[in-house]
Amino acid sequence: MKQMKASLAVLTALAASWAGGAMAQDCKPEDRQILTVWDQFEYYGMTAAGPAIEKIHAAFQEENPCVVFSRSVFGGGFPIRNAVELALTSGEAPDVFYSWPSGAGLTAYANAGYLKDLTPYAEKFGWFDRLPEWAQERNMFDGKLYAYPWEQDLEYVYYNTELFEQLDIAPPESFEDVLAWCDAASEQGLIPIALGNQDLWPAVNMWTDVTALVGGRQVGLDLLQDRQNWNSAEPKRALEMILRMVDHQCFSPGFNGTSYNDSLLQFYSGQATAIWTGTWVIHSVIENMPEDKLDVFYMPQFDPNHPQATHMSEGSAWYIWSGSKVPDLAAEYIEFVSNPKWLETWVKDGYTIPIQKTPIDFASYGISGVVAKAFAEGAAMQDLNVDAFHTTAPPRVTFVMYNDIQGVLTGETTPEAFLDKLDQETAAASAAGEVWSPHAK
Amino acid sequence: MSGPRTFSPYLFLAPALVYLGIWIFYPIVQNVVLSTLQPVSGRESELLFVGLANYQRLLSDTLFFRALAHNLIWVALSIVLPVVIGLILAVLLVNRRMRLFYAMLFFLPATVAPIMAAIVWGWIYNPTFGALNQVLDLIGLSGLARPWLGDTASALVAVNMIGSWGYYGFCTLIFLAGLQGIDPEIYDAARIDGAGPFQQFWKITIPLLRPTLIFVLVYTVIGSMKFFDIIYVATKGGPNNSTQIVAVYMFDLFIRQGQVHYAAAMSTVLTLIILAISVLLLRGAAIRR
Repeated sequence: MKQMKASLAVLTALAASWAGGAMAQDCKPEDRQILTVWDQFEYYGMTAAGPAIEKIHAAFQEENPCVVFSRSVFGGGFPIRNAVELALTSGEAPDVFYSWPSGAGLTAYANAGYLKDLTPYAEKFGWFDRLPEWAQERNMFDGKLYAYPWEQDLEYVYYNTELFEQLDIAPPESFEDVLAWCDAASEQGLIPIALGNQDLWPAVNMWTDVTALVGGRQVGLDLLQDRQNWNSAEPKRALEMILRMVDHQCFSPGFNGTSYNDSLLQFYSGQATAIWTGTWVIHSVIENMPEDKLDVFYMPQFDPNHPQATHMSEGSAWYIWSGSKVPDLAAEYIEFVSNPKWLETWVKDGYTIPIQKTPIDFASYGISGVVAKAFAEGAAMQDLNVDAFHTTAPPRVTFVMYNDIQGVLTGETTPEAFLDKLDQETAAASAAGEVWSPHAK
Repeated sequence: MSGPRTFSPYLFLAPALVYLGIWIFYPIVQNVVLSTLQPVSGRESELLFVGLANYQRLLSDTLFFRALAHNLIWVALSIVLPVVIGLILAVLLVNRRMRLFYAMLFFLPATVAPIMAAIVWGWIYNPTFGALNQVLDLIGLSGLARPWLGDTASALVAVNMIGSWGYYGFCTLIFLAGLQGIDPEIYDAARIDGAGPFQQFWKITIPLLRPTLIFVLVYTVIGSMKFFDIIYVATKGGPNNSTQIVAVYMFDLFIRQGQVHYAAAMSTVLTLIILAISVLLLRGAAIRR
């Protein structure tokens, strides 16, 4: 079924490209402009915004009949990132691409001269007025904007209300409540929190959340911009708290050998009472869980001295390749698809919540309570939230995070050894100019 | 007449040489060149010659050596399991009437795409709903149940089983073809001289099967050293790098971390190791002949 849907998406993309070509026939040959776009808007799974982007493309095509679209759709997550990385290093990249990561990833791309500076376009189109500062900062290098952040990502807990009722528990209000929930669920043979860490990043996300809960936003910024060692109080304390959760059997048995998709299945099938993940699977969760059994909450305060917080980032961002022959057209395209007039289309047809300063009135779009709650509560904490570690740290640091945190969770690696290794890799990344450095030098 | 006669073999070889040149030799040379360069400020457009610096870095990369050790374990497991099983099955089948049917049956797993095999075996190994743990539970061996791919002690062997499952049928087929080339009269003569089945196996089958054995061994070593797909899908090198092998590590360095030149140095070293092992095996075979 998934393959059928994928084929359908590809066919639709081809049809869109063909339609663009057909319209371009009305133009004089010298007026035609080819715009190559790589995105990840499929019809299912992560970033299931295919219907939205196609509607927006049709409108763009109508306003720009001389533009010939050449669109390729990649799977979200690593497929698009890998393809972009190869394209950039080989000097044959698309004009516009919708990819990740920002932070250090963007720093490396910008530093290598692969990206077009979008600052003049941001000033022209008013993007700085539209985007919150945290999102601008994640996509800046040396004081210049190099990508337009899109898709608000936040991490929270989806839970099965029926199972919570059966266990006679309510969403936790403290770390001790979380441990009590784990004990209650595992005593009943249920998985308290589904975790599929075979995909490497889910545990890093959890760790980021707990660091936000015990450290706050500034600690996250200091860690990611190499102003604080990883082997320091807050990240270490966060790991220790997660280890306590492991001791209380909070997570799926054999979580390092369980895939992320299988952990979602554990939640959908009622084997797990909850899953600690984020906005990127909201479409899938809503499709697979009856609405009367589903609700969300953010992890509570883990420390009375620190407010509730989570981690956030952009799911992906729009970039223009520095070698593009049509950079102005590419910028106009980004402005078109990100224009607030398409907000309803993105939200309703694309299950995508754009990053913007102005709060979104979900009720006016008739959006499900779960979606509205997840985004509204998360956005309200944006001054406290930490940037996602794995999409912001230098790729060589992320590699250690991904692989070695597995050993920390099983007790084979000590938190100190893990954090020391992160510091060593950060030092190497810093020497290579790969650390996230948004501000002008 | 001698001119065209000397020239004609090269003419016939030319298409293959051109193909190899473009797709094998040129990329190898290009890779070696890349491994001696390093970008200035991360810019691939400005490269600096750094000589053997990337190779020097390899020497202090503990993860590279760990990955290499995993490759060697993989080689050993791939020889012990699929090659030996394939040989035994071929010997058992060679005089059977329906040998080809059975050989094709054993070959069936080899027709499954490795990525699909990794996904399906991932479900079999799944700690919560996987068939393997459920079967162990049914037969009273629940104490052996474990998260096969999530436990550092079992992950490499478990993931190798996936590869072996798809490979033993290939070995069976190749050995069967080799065994069919041995003249049955040699076995008849040995039996008349009083040789038992084991003596026949060690004194006749193995020596006469040596070219096939060497081919399978070289093929297995090369395949094991450059192995990638099943591990990438099943464990991504985890947990805690316990299934990290050189190709998976190299892929991450090249594609995700953008460390193109260091990955090129690693790739060159891997190529040299594969070449060295293959030459040793082939020379060993030649000496014995």
